[in-house]
Amino acid sequence: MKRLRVGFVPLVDAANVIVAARCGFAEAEGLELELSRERSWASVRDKLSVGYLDAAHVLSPMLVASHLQLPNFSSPLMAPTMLSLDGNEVTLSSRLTDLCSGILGYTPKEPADWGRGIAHVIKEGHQRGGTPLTFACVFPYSSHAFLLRDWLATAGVDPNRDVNITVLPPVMMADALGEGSVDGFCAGPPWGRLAEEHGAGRVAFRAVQMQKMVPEKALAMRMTDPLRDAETVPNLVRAIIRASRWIADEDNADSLFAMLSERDCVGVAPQTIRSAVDRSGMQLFGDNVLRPDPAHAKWISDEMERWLQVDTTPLEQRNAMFRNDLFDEALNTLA
Amino acid sequence: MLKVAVVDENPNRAEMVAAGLREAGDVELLTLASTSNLLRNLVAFAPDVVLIDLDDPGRDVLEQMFEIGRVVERPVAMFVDRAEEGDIQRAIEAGVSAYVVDGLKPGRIRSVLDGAIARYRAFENLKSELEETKGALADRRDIDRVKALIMKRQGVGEDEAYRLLRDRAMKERRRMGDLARSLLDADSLLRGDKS
Repeated sequence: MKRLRVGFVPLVDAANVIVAARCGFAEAEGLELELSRERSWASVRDKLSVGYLDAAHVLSPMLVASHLQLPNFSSPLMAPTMLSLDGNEVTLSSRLTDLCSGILGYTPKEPADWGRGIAHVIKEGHQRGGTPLTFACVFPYSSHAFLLRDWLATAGVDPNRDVNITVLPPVMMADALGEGSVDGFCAGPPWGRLAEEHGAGRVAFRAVQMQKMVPEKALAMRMTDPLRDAETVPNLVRAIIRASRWIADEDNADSLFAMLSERDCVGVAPQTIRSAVDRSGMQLFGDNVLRPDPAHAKWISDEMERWLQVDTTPLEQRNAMFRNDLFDEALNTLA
Repeated sequence: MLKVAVVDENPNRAEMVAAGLREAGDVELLTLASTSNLLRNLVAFAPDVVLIDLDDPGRDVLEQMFEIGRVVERPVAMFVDRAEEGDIQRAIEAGVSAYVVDGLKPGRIRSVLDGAIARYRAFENLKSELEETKGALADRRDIDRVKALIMKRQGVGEDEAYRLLRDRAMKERRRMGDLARSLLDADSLLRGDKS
């Protein structure tokens, strides 16, 4: 049995990793997965770079950041499988949703309508000289950061000038929204739902209302790892594919939500997780969902450029990050 | 003078690290907890070095200071980016991460980093010693209670009761404290205690 340390951040889309480790799918592939619950993406990245973790649940843009050698990304990463697509939600404070509904004369459902409301709020705020609205995402390089900016820009708001876009860990979002230090945030399930339960705000819309098939989490490993043998990657990918098929079976839903709710996993009540997952549009299974698409690298680096996170990016080795070849190799040898 | 910010959820550890650094040299210190105001407080202090628990969720908040185009006066970069391999390993094992201002001479940081690593380690040791002491106290209490039970039930003296318990523990290859606790559990179940 080969032992691997695998990091994850407490989010529902870590499900494939957790199920692979807990339900015997890793063992069936000759692997013993030791899960390590991490509290920040920075710590996932650093522990992965120095070999303290062998693999980890990461935000897809972290792979691109590692190849662009952005500050603090010291070793290039690759993903032999995705862990999820889509699923993020935008949650707004009660104060902001009331303001928007007041201005528009109705409670919006679509992102564009919320955007129009917010553009009005900002314009009036400017005239009164108030402080700019603050929106939080989970990491500078994340689909959450791209989505917030895209949504605001579409509504005619300059995301780099008219508002503050800041970073907060998901666990702090509900409190920050409640105490008014942020006016809205974008995060994956179950954190928007949790903010609703705390009475801090409401989930205004889901990312899938703007764009679908967005690369969300990937299973990252160091591109080169002298200690890794040839079988480790296909074994690990097969364990994840098996886990995703177990998750796809509706009969396992109760066990899945119970497992995710445990303190050493996500640590949020099963019914909160269930209702968050049901409406978020998050995709956790299906070979087309898990198969890494090299085109993700281009989409992500374009977004980084568009929002001025990087200078024009000479992204070399574009096919070295999202490794569909490694995924196919594992899929084809699945017993 | 070096400006050092210590970010820690644990105020005791923050104070211990800060005290160590103060002794070590000419530093101006700010200790902070990770809250939603972390970034604002840090920018206002404009530190040369930020020391933060490796596992602190606030690290992602710090990371946004590295985005190009951010309007932060003094960009900082992570020490481990340019540090030697050994430093990275030592820092990770001690559970501390350090961010330093770009362009600061490594020599000036060395003593701060060494001091921080030493203090984080000392804190860990202290914590495990404390846990050991607590464990030892609990063992002694439970062993005494079982000893009293054996003395009463079997009508033997204290030394004999201790010997019986010790022999059983050796035979079962268990720690005496653990054996005592399971005997107490069994006893309370048999007596019908609700707990």
